[in-house]
Amino acid sequence: MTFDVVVIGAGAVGCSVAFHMAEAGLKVALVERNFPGAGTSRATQAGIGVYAKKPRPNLELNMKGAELYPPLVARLGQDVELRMDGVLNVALTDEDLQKMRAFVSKQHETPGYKADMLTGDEARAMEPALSREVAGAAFCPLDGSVNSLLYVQALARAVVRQGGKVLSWTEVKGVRAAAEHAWTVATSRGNLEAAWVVNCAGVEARRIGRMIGIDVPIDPNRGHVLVTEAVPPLITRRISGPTLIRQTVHGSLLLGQSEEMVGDDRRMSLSVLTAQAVVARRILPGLDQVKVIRSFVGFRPWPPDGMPILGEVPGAPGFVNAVGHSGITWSPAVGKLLTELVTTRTPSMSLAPYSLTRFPGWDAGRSAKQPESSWGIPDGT
Amino acid sequence: MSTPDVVVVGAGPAGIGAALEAACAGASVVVLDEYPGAGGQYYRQPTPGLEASPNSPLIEHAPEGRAQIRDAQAAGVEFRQDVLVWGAFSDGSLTTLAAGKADVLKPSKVILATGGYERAIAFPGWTLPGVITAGAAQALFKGQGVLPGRRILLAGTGPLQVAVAAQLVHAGGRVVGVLEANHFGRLFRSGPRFWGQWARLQEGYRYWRTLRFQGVPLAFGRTVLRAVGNGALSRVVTAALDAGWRPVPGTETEVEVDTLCLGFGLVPNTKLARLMGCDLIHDPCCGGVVPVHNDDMETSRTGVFVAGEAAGVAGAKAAEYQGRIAGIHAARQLGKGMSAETEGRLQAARRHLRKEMRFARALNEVFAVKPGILDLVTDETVICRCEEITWGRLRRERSEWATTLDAVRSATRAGFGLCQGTICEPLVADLLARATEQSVADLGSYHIRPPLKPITVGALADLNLRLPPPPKRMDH
Amino acid sequence: MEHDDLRLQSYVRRGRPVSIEVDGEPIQAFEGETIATALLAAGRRVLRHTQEGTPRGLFCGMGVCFDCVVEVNGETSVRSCMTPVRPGMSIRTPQAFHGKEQRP
Repeated sequence: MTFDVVVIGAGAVGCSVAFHMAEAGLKVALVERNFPGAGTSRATQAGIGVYAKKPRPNLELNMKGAELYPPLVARLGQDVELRMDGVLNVALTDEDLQKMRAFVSKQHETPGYKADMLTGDEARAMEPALSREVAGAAFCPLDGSVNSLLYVQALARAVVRQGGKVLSWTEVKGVRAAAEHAWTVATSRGNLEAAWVVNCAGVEARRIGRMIGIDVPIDPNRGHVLVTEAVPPLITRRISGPTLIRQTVHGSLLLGQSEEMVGDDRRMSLSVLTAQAVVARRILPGLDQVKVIRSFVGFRPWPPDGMPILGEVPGAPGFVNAVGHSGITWSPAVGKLLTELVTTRTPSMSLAPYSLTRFPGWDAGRSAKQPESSWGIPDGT
Repeated sequence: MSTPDVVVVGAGPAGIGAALEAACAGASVVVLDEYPGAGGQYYRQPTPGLEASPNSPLIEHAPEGRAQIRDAQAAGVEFRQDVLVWGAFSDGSLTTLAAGKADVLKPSKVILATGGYERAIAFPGWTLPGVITAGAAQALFKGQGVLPGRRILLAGTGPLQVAVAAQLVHAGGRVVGVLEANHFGRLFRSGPRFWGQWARLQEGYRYWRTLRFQGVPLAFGRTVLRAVGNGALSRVVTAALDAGWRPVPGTETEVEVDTLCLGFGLVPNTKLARLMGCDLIHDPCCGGVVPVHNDDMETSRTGVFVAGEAAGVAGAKAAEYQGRIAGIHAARQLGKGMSAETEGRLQAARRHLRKEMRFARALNEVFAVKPGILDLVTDETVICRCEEITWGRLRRERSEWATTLDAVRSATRAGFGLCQGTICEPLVADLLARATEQSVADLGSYHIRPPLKPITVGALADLNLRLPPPPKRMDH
Repeated sequence: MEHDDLRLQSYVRRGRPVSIEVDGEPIQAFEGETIATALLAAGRRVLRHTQEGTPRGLFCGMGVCFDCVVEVNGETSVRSCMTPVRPGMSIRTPQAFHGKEQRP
């Protein structure tokens, strides 16, 4: 089957890319080995995070994503529990507060950024459940949160409405250049041909990259999150800082922000799991008697320098990467930018800072001989 | 606190049998049980403070259970009651919660005797206060000395219903009827399968005679269609069923009741086994998904055993023998229990188990729930009780990609409430299988994550402060 | 108002009476009874209302369904079928938090 674009991976990023492209009239196939949102997108607190993003190009991209969320969600015609009500980043010591002040000041070098410093009392006026130990906070109104599962599903449905094809339960087995700017994507359900391939495979992005001989340096970064029973409103906006806490519209709280580079080890760690409870309770003492009813482990697609990897790969015309951490936040922006790239070749924001080529060795796999993964895809099928 | 050789989770017939044998073989054994007293459901004892005389209808199997518990204690088994096992981790740790305090154990061997619970059959009004399970009626009656209500209707399938009804009647309860979903003809034709089970047939006959004597109607080929009430149950509409258990239009009658007991068989409680990574197999003949195990009752995870209803619904006697077999093998893996005497007990348990399994299989087949009963479910019927997700919502969310239990759960939140899918999983599986024309085995299962039951943030935090610090990792 | 007729009278002897409070009202129970039993015997089958406002009570009676949860001495999500009464216990039958009302 022939398409204009094959998007690999139906998480927040892949679904947004596929939707924007289908909306622009392109013939899109979205390939997903599981069901839309089955990867990182369902194992995340799903904050829309602008406040702490750095360096500057990263901040700009995330700001753009947050800005585009409301109009995008409006086009999806479905309630995805979008809340753009900011984040309160708290400090538990004066030393941390000083660092925060300096950090916020530097962030303001980027036009459009906004965050206000608050004293401990001001923070508690905003969120009465905060511990007296909170020395101060920064409030960033640009942040928000969304129900990532609903968001991804709404996007996937919208892809179909716009005439795109969503191929769930379909594994990508190989990617090969059939000709200049023409790709063959071999899947468990047959071959797909397209001028463009977008790698939105999240934690699997590296494996997809290897299929064309490039190294996309994404490693899984494991996080544990606790989920509580539904309780009356304890906080009204996301809390960040020593940990992440947010309360969903149903009333349950998501607690935890751990980071471990352990490969793809999904097994839970008792000490890391319980450590999330320690930090959360310290910030919100009212959590002490709230019951945890579930937990989960998620993998962030983690690049070495924190910045997403976006854009067309030199020497592989038509092959585009769109991977990295915080895909939830920048998915609306990247959907738009990559659509601009494909349709006009001039995205409204330069993709240069996010280029794969910033990593030495990105093309080390590309030698004269065929890469391992390009096994015999029969010609003409 | 020293770690025991063997931890048994669950103090019902299987757990008691396992603990007894493991202790007799020389292992140190601790039984962890969530209830205030040992016995599980089958050997449920009257609650402390409630004394029942031997003539009391309360006393069914309780004395037998008490004797076995005493034997186990005499052999050195430590029963720890009011203890919840909420987690299992890859380093072999089991985490517990008792009196608000979390703790960790690392036993050498684990025997999962987590029992079973009632299969949920959904119909309009099934969430009304007053609609309970047959198991709940027994727990109230045997354990608490209280009738579940004033006018009681039982609906379901299988001999347990008749037993519960007779016990309620004997205790002075007003039972207005017992509805058996199977047609009498079918049951009659199945009679020969129970040849040889004289004691059981006699017991069944006694119960039936009690009901007849009290004028309690026993209807065949009939079940509940819907439950009605304003704020709580006040009426039940019943209907006839065809051979496939589909309700027959035009056969509705109404009966005024304040209590409806549902008894459609049991489902194995496999959550802990699944959390521990045991391989599973779908066996419709024993209640659904069960951990794969060999004849020694060992699961796919070395040193982890399963016994009783959790290994497949087969009744209390089978549970006991499976427990004994598991207990002996757990001890043998520790180099104990090698004597000829233990070997003799093992062989006896195997012999008894074989006989029990033949009976259990026959019972399970004859009284299997037939898919026609899913026709009771309408779009407005709540399927996930905790999150109040209706079948209409599940059906609408089901799309080209939401075709596994995991996907449907993610799409709808069904199974993400307080009970974490315990009640709705088998029901969603059956409904989804029918709607997508797949087999239940192909649908996969809900992902199980700790805690298996709720635990406070405070208890988790306090546990962390007592854990040894994790090894320092090389930072990225 | 008491409904002693649900409690079996023959061949049983009960323990000491225990006084508890449910939604501000005093209720008489007996030692060893669960909260669910005490409420059932006192004529109260409705144990809570859900987020959609529907009434719920005892269902499985063995601690797996969490339909019977009440608030006990301030502790939330306590299974009334698994929890024995204690003298002076203060119980509230929850009217569930309607999550949608969280935001103004």
